[in-house]
Amino acid sequence: AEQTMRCSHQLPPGHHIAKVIDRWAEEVETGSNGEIDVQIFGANSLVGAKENIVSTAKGDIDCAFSVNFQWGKTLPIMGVTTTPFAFGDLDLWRAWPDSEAAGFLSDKLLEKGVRNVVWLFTTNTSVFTSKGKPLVAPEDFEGMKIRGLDPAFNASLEALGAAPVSMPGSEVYQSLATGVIDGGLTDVAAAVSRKYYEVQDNFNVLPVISVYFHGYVNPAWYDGLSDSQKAAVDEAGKKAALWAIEASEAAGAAAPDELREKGVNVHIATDDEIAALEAIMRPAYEETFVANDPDSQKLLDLIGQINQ
Amino acid sequence: MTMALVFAGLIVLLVTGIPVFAALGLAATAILLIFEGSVSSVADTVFAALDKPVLATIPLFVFMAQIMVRAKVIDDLYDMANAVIGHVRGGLGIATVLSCTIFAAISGSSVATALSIGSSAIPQMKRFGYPERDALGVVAAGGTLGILIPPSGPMILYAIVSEVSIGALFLAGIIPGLLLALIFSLYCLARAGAQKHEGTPQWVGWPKVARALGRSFWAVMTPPVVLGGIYFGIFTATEAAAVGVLYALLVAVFAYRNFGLRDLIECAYRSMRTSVMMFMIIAGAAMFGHAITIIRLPVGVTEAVTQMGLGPLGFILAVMAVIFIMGMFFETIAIILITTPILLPTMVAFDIDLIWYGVLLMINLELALITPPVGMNLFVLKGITDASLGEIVRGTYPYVFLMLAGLALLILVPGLATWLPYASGFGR
Amino acid sequence: MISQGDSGADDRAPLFLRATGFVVRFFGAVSAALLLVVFAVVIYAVAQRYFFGRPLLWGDETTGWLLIAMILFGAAEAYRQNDHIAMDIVSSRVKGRGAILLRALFDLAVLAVAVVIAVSAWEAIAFARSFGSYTTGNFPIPSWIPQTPLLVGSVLLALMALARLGDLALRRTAP
Ligand code: NA
Ligand code: NA
Repeated sequence: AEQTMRCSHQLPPGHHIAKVIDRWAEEVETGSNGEIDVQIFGANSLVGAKENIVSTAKGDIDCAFSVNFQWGKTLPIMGVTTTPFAFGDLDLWRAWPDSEAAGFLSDKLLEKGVRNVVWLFTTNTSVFTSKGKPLVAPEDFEGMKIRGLDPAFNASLEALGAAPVSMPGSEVYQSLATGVIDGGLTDVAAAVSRKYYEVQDNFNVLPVISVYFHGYVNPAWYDGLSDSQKAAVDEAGKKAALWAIEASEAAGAAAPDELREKGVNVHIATDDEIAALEAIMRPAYEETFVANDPDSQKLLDLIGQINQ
Repeated sequence: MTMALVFAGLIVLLVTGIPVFAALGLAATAILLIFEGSVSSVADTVFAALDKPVLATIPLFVFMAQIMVRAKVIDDLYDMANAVIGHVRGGLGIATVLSCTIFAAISGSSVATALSIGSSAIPQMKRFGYPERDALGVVAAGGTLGILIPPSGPMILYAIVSEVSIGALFLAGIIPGLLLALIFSLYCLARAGAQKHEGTPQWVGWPKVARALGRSFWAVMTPPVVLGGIYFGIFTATEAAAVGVLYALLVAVFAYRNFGLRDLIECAYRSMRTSVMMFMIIAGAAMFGHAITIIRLPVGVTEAVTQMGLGPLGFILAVMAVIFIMGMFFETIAIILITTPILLPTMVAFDIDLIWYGVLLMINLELALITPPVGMNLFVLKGITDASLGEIVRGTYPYVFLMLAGLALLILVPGLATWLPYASGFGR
Repeated sequence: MISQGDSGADDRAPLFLRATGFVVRFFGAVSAALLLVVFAVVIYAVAQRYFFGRPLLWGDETTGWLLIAMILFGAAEAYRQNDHIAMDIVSSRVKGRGAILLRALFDLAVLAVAVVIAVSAWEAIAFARSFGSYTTGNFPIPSWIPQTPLLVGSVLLALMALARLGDLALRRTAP
């Protein structure tokens, strides 16, 4: 191999996106005729989740995968998929890698100091969890301390009358158990794997946010590749984007039934219920999102053009 | 080959007597310079290793125990145990085990346990003609319970590296810890029966026993306050440690009334120093871990183990043997931080229960504390008595076999460790 | 365990040694104070949650950053006090000139590691500033701020190692 490509990510080996990343790595190796040796270091084993972005930009490692939330205040625009109910449509995700919106985000990432190489859609199916009463209609959220995400999404929860508390997924269970928060918000598959059913009894399944991982490389490393090697990386990225959608769809599909088997109340939100929540949450979200970054409006417009 | 060179180099550095954190850091620097030509990742690695709020648990537990020792809350422990059971033949040894067990549930360190209980127990045992060798052995071994019975600094480190719940691991240590205490006590009893000690203290009568029990109330109540909060999900481990400090402060100031601002500052300063040296080893081990990961040593270990065709049990036995040997020479924190990241991928592949393994590791590290040539509890005894190291080792070696038996039992019956955490709702 | 004089505390020691000793002790005191602050923050968070029903949002991250500052500000003081754990199988048997050489070797090793961390920390802070990276969580702040104690602490450790080497060179007697 002429080039080694050391990639860090935070996911445990069994996670469906970790498996997509392994398959992507093989694709890069075969596509480059073995000229790129991809070494995957999962589960925070080489670099921690918090350090992936800077370590790649600095060139300590060649590549990393992060969940979009990890960008936080460093590049808030990456959090666009938390726009309430805007990214539920899988066709939008299938069109995403070639869209102008994705190109716009890639440019922003390159300006910041990393080159994006693959978009890995992870989930569009979330659950609002609670104990005692379900969180379905807007008024159910009144006064609830609920797990929040980024400032814009928190503004949409506040518009419902809830008090959002942001925290990483790993802390939600403990916080629900000890009463730091009354309600949870998580990916439906994580509600099963993290055993939320032990501390919550009502689960409202709905496509409120989308979450994606993305793979990015050090720009100088990428520039050092030959044209055919670059093509291999780009091709593998396009293929893996589709694999991620299939894998994520499969991972999310079984979760509601698995929750029911645990004896908790599972509700699948109807279109009317979704419309009622969206009418309140979305304007509040967009107001804060655009206020935080003037480029956001352009991104929201570009996203509006996908599939039209 | 690279693996052999890397570890040989590290061992040479450690044996010369360079501080452990610096030896790990130097080995990491050498690897990074040779294979990467750059050390620019070091700061991010060290920062990531220390930027873990849950690590605050370690200095807080040390602080709690420091306050209780300084306020002499702990002195009442041995007196109580002695009043209750001292009059039985072999009872002085059992009283030592009992007070070590209770102190172990207050302190996160085995050295602190052997030091605190040993200072009050050994003079008492000597006074009543308990054979010196037996007295040394029971303090050295009883003291090791400090890291198996929660809270435990080494357990916290293992939990962080392996990402298992600290609360679950704490609960997993309780039954094995009590079991070892029982084995030690039975041994004291059997030994006393075999060789008839001269003076066994008289039964002091119920009123004195009641008074001793009353005086030890505050010390004995510490474990329920601290561990109960974790058990019932009221507090996280860090919060439980801080609440423990608060409890110790209240007891020292209002019940014992011998604790002022000066004592508080002195305890905070001492706790800081004790924890800082642990944290610097964490930093050094993180550098070393990052360096060997980048040259893919852990992957090599997993492949080698798979090729050897060991099953999960064979793997565990091999690992336990290696750690026992390392334990003769190395310091416990370094062992945890060096071996765990290397073994973790293989354990995940074999589907080995990480809580169970954590308890096995703790018992093995307890052994490390009393096996020569480097055993911290042996050194502690050398510090607080005028016995020779040889005499201490001779007093302690029967306990090495007892603990090996305990380790074997835990390997054969994993439920002894895993039942309590899973029964109280911690997930796998 | 190795024991020796309290480096830098001697009144007749050269100015550099005395100044280093003073600065290191000062940061040691700050470190001990930070442990008390960590304790107070955690207790405050518990009280807010159980007695006032308002979970503290900045508690966890702040605890992590205070802890890092505590560790790095205290590292040089712990070193000054010879707290650091080492294997003394060899060093406890070596006497005379050999012992001095070994002590110098230990101090050089600590100096080397401290310099490596300091240089890397300097680069990391400079990069974090130019990149504009923020910490994640409820309470994002520029990430170079919590990294700064890493630089301060490693410089202190390097100074302490130099001071001990200087002390050794001046005394030329077995410690
Ligand atoms: Na303990
Ligand atoms: Na040993």
